Amino acid sequence: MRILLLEDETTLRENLTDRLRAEGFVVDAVGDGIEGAYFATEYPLDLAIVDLGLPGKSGLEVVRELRRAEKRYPVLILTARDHWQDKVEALDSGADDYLTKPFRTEELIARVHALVRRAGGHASSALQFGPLRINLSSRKVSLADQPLDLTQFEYKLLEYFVLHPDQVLSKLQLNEHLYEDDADPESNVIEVILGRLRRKLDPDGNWKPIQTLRGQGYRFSPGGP
Amino acid sequence: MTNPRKPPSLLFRLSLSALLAVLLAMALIGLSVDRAYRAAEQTALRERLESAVFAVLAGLEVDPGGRLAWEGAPADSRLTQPQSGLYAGVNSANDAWYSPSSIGIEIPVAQRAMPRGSERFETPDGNLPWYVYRIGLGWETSGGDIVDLSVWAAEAPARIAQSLASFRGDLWRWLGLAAVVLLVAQMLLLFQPLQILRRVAGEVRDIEGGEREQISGRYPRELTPLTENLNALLKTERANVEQYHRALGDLAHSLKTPLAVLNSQLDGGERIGKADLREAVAQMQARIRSELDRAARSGRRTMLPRLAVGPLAEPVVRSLRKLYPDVRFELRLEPLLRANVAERDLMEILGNLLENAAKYGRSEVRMSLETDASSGRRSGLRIIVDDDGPGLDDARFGEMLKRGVRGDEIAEGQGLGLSIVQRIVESYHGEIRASASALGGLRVEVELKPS
Repeated sequence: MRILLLEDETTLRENLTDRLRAEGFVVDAVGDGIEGAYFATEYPLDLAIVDLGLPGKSGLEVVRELRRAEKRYPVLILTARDHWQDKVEALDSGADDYLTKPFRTEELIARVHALVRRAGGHASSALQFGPLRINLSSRKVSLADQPLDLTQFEYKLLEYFVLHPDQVLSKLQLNEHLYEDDADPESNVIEVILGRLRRKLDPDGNWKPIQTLRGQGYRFSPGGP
Repeated sequence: MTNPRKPPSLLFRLSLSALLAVLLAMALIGLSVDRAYRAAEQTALRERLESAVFAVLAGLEVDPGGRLAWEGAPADSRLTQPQSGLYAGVNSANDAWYSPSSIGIEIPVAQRAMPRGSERFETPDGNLPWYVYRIGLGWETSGGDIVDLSVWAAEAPARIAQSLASFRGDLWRWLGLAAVVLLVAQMLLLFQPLQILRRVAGEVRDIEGGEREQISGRYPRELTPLTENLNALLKTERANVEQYHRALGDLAHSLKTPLAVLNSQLDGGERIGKADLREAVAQMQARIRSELDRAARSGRRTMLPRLAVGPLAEPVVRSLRKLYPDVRFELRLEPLLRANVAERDLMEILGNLLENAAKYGRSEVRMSLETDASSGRRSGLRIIVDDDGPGLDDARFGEMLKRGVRGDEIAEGQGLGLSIVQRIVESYHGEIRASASALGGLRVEVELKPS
């Protein structure tokens, strides 16, 4: 999951970046509105966290701009203003949720997970696909009621598939959404991890929840191909 | 800064209109006096010509053959003085006589036989350069015959023109003088009220400079609404500034305690525990919040605009739908509903009530807005929010309203919204009530009364 964090206060930006990375997100952290608007419209994002008071271009303008560019990923607004007039203005200009400063980092992380989940079309954080159960909040995965032990990257990959069910995802797309910029897009690390994930999800080889479409990418179809 | 052209001063506007009015009046007076004078001059001229005709008749002899002779003493010396400007003549069927004054002058008067008993006065025109008066009469000769005669007298227009010119000169000179006097008087009259306005402006400037507190001079009745309103505004303004000062002071002082605790721990060399830090931060947060709420509440609600409620309520509901996608929100309001309420206050009330209902409700929230008919000409507002949650008893509801008022409480989450609503409603002298909803949960009813 790739997140744009648009916050001009350096300490807060760095702390949040660390926390979000620790949660397994890919984070692009930006401190001013103009660069932020570029990231928001040009990068393959899954969510943006936008502070309203930014140098260069206000957060509201960035949100309006990215919505005009038909970006549909969820946007979470951060601001010190907590009057409904301000909230309504932010939500009406295209944001999806609103968090008032000062806030607890846990609250922010919870909102981010909820927004990502809602964007994937799931009302609850506990999901079930055949024998596979995933709790997006606690990040616990079980297979046929047995806890399944996944590495952080395996989980991230699975989560991305689960939130985009029945969609063909190219290797490039997976790379962009799951890796930081400096990762080598030509590496075959995705294939390697995908192979491990497939073996863990389908040790007997008769479920095949993740299919390969030659030349196009991969598809998570838990009901089978 | 843009520099729009300054509107012309009052003195300029009033002087300009006075000038135009005076000029118009003087022109009308001048024209009518001129007309009257010209008419009087013509009447006098006609009378002069008539008496010249009779003077001619007085000295006229007509012999039985119709020949004319004049031997009377000149009643008017101008008739005998050559080229005097006054001329006369007599025409019979076979003779003509001209006054001595006309020697050397070509007589332009047409030789016209006038019927007996007729008279005519002619003014100069294209083919007649003179004023002419003529009569026709029958003259009994010494032989007993009746001879028809035309007798005329004429005057060149030079004399009357000269008199008119000198009269006009005098007239316009005096009228001009009168106009100047009137204008000066007008200016002097205008100056006084303008001076009063300048005095008010001077007092306002003094207030701005801090040299006086309010407008204290005595002013004419027309200005007292202005000065009294200014004084009222100044009083409110001062009260507000004092309130801000007090609020700021309170806030600063209330932050000092938790800061002092942190400081002492730093100085003591102890490691600050995460719990201590969190508690201090929470305390400061709570203080800031309660001071902000108090500041918002203490603002005076006067002179509220009449707002269309729909365009404010709809975006709030839209926002709530976004924040709580699993809850169904229904909004009922009259399409043209208006109320005297501040935009910020209304959105704050609606947002908090709806969010509260969405948090406690299971799946459905319904809000209806209507005018409060009991409040007369200015429109109050009744807001009713229903949810299908577990509901609340009166005691719990009362507790919720008080939440967040106490500064020592971490005022996040439950019920805080209601206490904010409660404080806004108080500032409108309104009411907030809870009851059981037809949807199965809580019904909150808010009534705002316009001040």
